[in-house]
Amino acid sequence: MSACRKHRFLLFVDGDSLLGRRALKNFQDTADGLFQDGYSLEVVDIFKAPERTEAFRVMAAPTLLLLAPMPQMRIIGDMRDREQLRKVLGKVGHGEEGAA
Amino acid sequence: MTATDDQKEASKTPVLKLASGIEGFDLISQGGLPIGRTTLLAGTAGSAKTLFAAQFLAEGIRKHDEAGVFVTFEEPPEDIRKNLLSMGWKIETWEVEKKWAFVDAAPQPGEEIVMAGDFDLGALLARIEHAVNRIGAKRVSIDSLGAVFTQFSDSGLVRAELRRLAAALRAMGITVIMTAERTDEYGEIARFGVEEFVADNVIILRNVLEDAKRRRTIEILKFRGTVHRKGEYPFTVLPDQGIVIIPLSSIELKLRSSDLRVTSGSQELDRMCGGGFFRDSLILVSGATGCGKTLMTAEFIAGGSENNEKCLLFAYEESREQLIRNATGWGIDFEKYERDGLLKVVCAYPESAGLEDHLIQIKAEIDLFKPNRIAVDSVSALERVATRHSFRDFIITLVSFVKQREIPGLFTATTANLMGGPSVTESHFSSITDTIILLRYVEMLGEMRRGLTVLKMRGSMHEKEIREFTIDNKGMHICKPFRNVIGILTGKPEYLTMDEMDRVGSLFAD
Repeated sequence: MSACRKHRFLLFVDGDSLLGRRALKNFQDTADGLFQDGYSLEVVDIFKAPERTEAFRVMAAPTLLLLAPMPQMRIIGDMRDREQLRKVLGKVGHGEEGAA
Repeated sequence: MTATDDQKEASKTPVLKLASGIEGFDLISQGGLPIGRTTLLAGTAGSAKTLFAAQFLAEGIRKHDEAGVFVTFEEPPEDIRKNLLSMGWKIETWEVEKKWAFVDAAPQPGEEIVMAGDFDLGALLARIEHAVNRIGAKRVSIDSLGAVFTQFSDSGLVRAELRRLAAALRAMGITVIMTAERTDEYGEIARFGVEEFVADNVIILRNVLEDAKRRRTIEILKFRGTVHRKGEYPFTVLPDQGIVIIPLSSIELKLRSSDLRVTSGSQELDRMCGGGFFRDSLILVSGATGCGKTLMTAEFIAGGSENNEKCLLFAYEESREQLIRNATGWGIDFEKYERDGLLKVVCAYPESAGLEDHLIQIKAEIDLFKPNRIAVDSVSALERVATRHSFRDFIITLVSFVKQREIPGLFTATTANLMGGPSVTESHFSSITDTIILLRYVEMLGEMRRGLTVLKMRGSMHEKEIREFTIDNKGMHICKPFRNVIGILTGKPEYLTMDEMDRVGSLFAD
C-alpha cells in the first residue's frame, strides 16, 4: 500500500436519489477497508453544482472520479458489485505492483 | 394517433414555428422548426447533419439574436470551432459573448471508464439545463444520438434517458434539433430506434450517389400538428454560407400573366409569334449544334438592349471572347451594350461547379443585376453536370426564378441529333415553357438549309408553317415557308412533286 499518496475521490450523485445513496454506501464500505491510511471523498450534487459537473464532463450519475493518484479514472454506476469494486480500487496507485 | 386526431390537436393548440434562418429551410418548412419541440434530423454519414445542427444555432445568433447550446457527443468542441470557421462563424467570440455554449460530452481519449451497476444520464441533463440557463438559450442542438448509444451499451436505458431529456427541454420551451445516423438513404428513419421518442418531427438529409454524381437533398418527413412542404428539396453547402436549400417552387404559383408583348429581336419572328413574345413568358429554342440558337439569343438580347432593357446572359458553351466575336459577325455589339450598363454576360463552364451551385449563382446574378430579360445559352450544356432528378429540379427552379420576376426568359437547348429529335432538356422543359421555337437543318437537293417553326405559343395565335431562314453579317433573315417538303421535324425530309401537293391540298378542300 502506497502510504505516501493520498487517494482523492469525487462522487457525483443526483441529490438524495436511491442510486446516489447506494453508490455512496458501496464505495465507503469498500474504501474504508481498502485504504487504511485514509482517503478523501467529496460528494457533488449534479443539479446543485452543475458547473462542477460540466467542468469534469460528467454524463452519468452516479459517477465516481479518481482525482489522485494519476491516471484519472471514472467509475459509472451504483457500484453494487463490491467484488468488482474492490478489484478496481485495489489496482489504483499500484501501477506494476498491482498488475504483477 | 390518426390524422384526424392530429388535426384536432392542431386546431386546439396551433404549433408555432421558430424561423431557423437557414436559407430556404423556412420556406420548405413554412415557417421554421416547431417551437419548443424536438426535431429529429436523420441522415447517413456525410449528409451534413452536424453542419445543419450548428447552422441552426449560428443563424439564431446572427439573424434573430437568440443564444444556443451545442451538445456534442462525437466531435470535441475544438474541432467544431475549427471546422465552422470555414463558414465564417466565429464561435469562440460567440462563446465569450454568451451566445453560444458547448456541452462537451465527447469521449475523452485515454481515460479509463469502468461500468459498475445502475446509473442514469441525469448529469447530462443537469449540464444542458445549466448551459441553457447560463446564456438564456432558445435553441439547443444535440449531435449525435448514435454516439450516446455507443458510449453506453444499455440502449433501453439510453432511450429512456433521452426521452427524459427531450421532455425536460420541452418543459423549458426550448426548440431542439437532435441528429441521428441512418445506414440507408431509403430505409429505417434512424439507428437504435431513436424515432420512438422523438417521433413528432422528423427531417431527413440525404447524400445520394446518382449517375456517379453526389446529390444532397432535404426532406421534412413529418411535423406533428402543423404544415410543411412535402418531398425532397436539393441543397448545397457553400464555403461562406453553409447549407443553402433550393426551394423548388411549383409552377402552379399564383403567377400573373401579362399580355404585354416584347420584341424577340427579329421583326419577322415577332410577326410569326403574333406580335412578339409575351413579357413574362419562357421561350425554349431547340435545335442541333450550329443551326442558329446562339444567334437567336444574341438577337433577343440586342432587341432588349435597343429598347433600353437590361439583359442578363448566361453562357455555358462559349467563352466571352467567342461570344463577342460571333455577335460582332452578326452586326451585334455586345461590348457597347455592356458599356451602357444594359448587358451583363456571365460565362461559366458547366463543369466548374455542381448544378446547385450554378443555380445559386444564377439567382444571385439575377438579384444583383435586376435584368429586364434573361437568356441562357444553353441550358442543355448543364445536363453534363446533372443527374436525371436534379436536372428536372434545376429546370423547375430556374423557371420559377424568372417567372417570379415577370420578365421574358429565353433558353436554348441542343438536340442530340443534327437532323432533329427530342432532347432531355426539351422533355423537362416543354410543358412549362410558354413558347417553343424549333430550329432544324433541312437537307434539300444536296444542300443544307435551315428551318424555323413556332411549335407552341401559349395564349396567342402564331404561324404554324416551317420557314426557311438564312444567316449573314446582318443576323438572321426569315424567308418563305418550305412548301414542298415534309418530314422536316422528324429529321427525314421528303420532297413532294407538284402533283402530290395538289392532291394533298385537295384532300381537305371542303
